[in-house]
Amino acid sequence: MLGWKKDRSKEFMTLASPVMDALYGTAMKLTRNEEVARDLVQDTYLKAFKYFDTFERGTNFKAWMFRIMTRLFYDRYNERKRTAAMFSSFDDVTINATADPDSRSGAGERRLLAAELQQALDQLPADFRLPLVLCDVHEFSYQEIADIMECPIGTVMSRLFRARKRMKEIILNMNQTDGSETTKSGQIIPF
Amino acid sequence: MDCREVEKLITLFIDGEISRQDSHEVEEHLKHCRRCTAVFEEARELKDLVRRLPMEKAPEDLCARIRAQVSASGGRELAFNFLRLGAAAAVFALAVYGGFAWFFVERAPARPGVPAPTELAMERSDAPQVTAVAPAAAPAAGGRNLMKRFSSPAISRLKKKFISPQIMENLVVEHVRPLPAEIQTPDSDSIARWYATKSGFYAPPPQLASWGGKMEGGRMSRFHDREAVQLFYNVNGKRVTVFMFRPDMIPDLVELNSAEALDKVDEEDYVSTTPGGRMVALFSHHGIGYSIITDLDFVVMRQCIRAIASQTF
Repeated sequence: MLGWKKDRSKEFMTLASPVMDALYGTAMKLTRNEEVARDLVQDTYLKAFKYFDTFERGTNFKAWMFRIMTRLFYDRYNERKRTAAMFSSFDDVTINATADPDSRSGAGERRLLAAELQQALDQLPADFRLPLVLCDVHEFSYQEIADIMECPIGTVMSRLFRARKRMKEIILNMNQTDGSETTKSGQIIPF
Repeated sequence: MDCREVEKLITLFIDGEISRQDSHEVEEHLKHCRRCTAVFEEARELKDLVRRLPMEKAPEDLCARIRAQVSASGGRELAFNFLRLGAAAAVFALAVYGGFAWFFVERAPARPGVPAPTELAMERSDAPQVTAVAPAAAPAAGGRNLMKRFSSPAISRLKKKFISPQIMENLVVEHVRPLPAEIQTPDSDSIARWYATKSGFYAPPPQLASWGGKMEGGRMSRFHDREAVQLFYNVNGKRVTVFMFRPDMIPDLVELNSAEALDKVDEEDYVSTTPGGRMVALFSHHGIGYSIITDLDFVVMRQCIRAIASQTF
């Protein structure tokens, strides 16, 4: 019996270790807070291990882990939203980006654009941010995202569309505020 | 396919979620339409930028901690299985022993002045079961009074009311084999500030100092599968674990909003004992749910409940 238990935790960690960076990176994108992201990932692993027996072997383990984390995140997010506690930044934020003018030149421009993009992503509500990260960063399919977020596939499509539209608006707004060359052309310079 | 149709499909196209037929038509359209090509290029660029956003890697200490916790929870599960097996074996042994005892005693000749075995059995069925579990733990008169009220039907009533055996078991595990404290300090203000930022709980931790209780630390935990604050105390040498949680998680929690309320509410409705010799109290006070777990010590439990019920904030 002891052997079986050891095998179980070994099997779990063999599958779960490779997705830890992906989960943590996404948790950071979602929570924007290192402490909270650590807790979220840790609780995700403990919960996943607890219910590991319910995981269907041969299905997408990474998507299963993301689904657990998403559910935990929304549980806490909704709870905190009700109590108006520490996650005020989860609410929709009006576009009010300020770029660092000192770093807008030469090689600094590339880093700035990355920072700006991150800032734009941070300004999206969590419901938009999550499908964008799942789709563009982790390359999950729409169906997988729908399973992870436990919503219809049409909702995923509409959120992705709106998220990208909003991202573009935010970036353009940043550039207009800044008055740089990129604003006038309306183009996004890759970093 | 016209521009409007293509524009609608561009998101699906760049995500590879489009049918082969539609994909072909979009490609054909883009060959001839500069406007749609610009829209497509921009969308693809944005997707590429998001894809290349730096992603934070999981810190080494977090990985190590998770590995340790996973293996620890595997071990705890194993220990519980052994406990369950042990408990089952004990019940079986008692049943066998009881059967033998009944067989021999029932057939013993009745002596004058000695009650018959059946009379003894009837008398015992009215007695509190807890006395049989831990007679040595019954200290003061107050403790005895409290103890008398923990009859077996009361325990099952409490369990039926709002707490499943699984939850009770989890609470006791967290008391007996707690995960390490995330904050270790006797300063209750520091702990309050710490868990307020972690959980949004803005209630002070229970003050047990006037009852000889010392705060030792705390951690963020789970109760009823929801976030809870777990606090560790030492009350006169006895370990006490207190959980603070949102009371809406459990309906019908007994409200103890003052020390006077203690006398008005039946203790059976908020205190229970477990077969493993632990006491668990569950109640709410000023909008916060509390669960106290102690080793079987009625006096300490009563002090803790009174301390929380008397707290004003």
